[in-house]
Amino acid sequence: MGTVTYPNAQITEFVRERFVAAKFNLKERHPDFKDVVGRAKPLWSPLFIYMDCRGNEFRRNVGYLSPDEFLAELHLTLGLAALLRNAIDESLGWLDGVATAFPDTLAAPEALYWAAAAAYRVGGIPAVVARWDALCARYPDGPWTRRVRDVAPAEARIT
Amino acid sequence: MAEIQWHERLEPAFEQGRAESKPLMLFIWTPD
Repeated sequence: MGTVTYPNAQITEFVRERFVAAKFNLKERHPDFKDVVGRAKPLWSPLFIYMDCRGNEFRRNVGYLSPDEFLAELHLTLGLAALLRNAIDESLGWLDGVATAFPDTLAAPEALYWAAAAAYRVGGIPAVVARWDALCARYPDGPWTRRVRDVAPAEARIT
Repeated sequence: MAEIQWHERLEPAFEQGRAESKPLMLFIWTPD
């Protein structure tokens, strides 16, 4: 990440503009480490943990990402951060934007999955079903499509 | 070119996040 992804100008600018960044060496007994990782012991690095400014963790992701994949991941993360604040329009803007701007990334189908969750807050089950159908049509196979394609609407477990 | 500004303590990161209404990205790494 430090060799290819972080030096990327787009990544640098986006992180500086939209996030507060902190880094912790897994090999060091850092005084904040328990607060950083919580009760889940890290098994591998690089590990990314995203929190709101009150310390509520809302995303954790492991493994190297190329600049394009990481930029898409950051957009997805902002969509989730907005969803956490119940800023639904903003959330949908970020999440739908991932699939538009980064359609071939790992984050794109996941962003559409979460967009359905955001849409539920304003459109209920019909909005979810419509978005799940769109997800399945656009990405016919994959881990996020598999989470929805065989679920009948009445069986959806949405909180 | 400007670089990413990394905090190395959590509380100052939270303070900046609150002041600027930004989420935190925590990068857990190991040396090569």
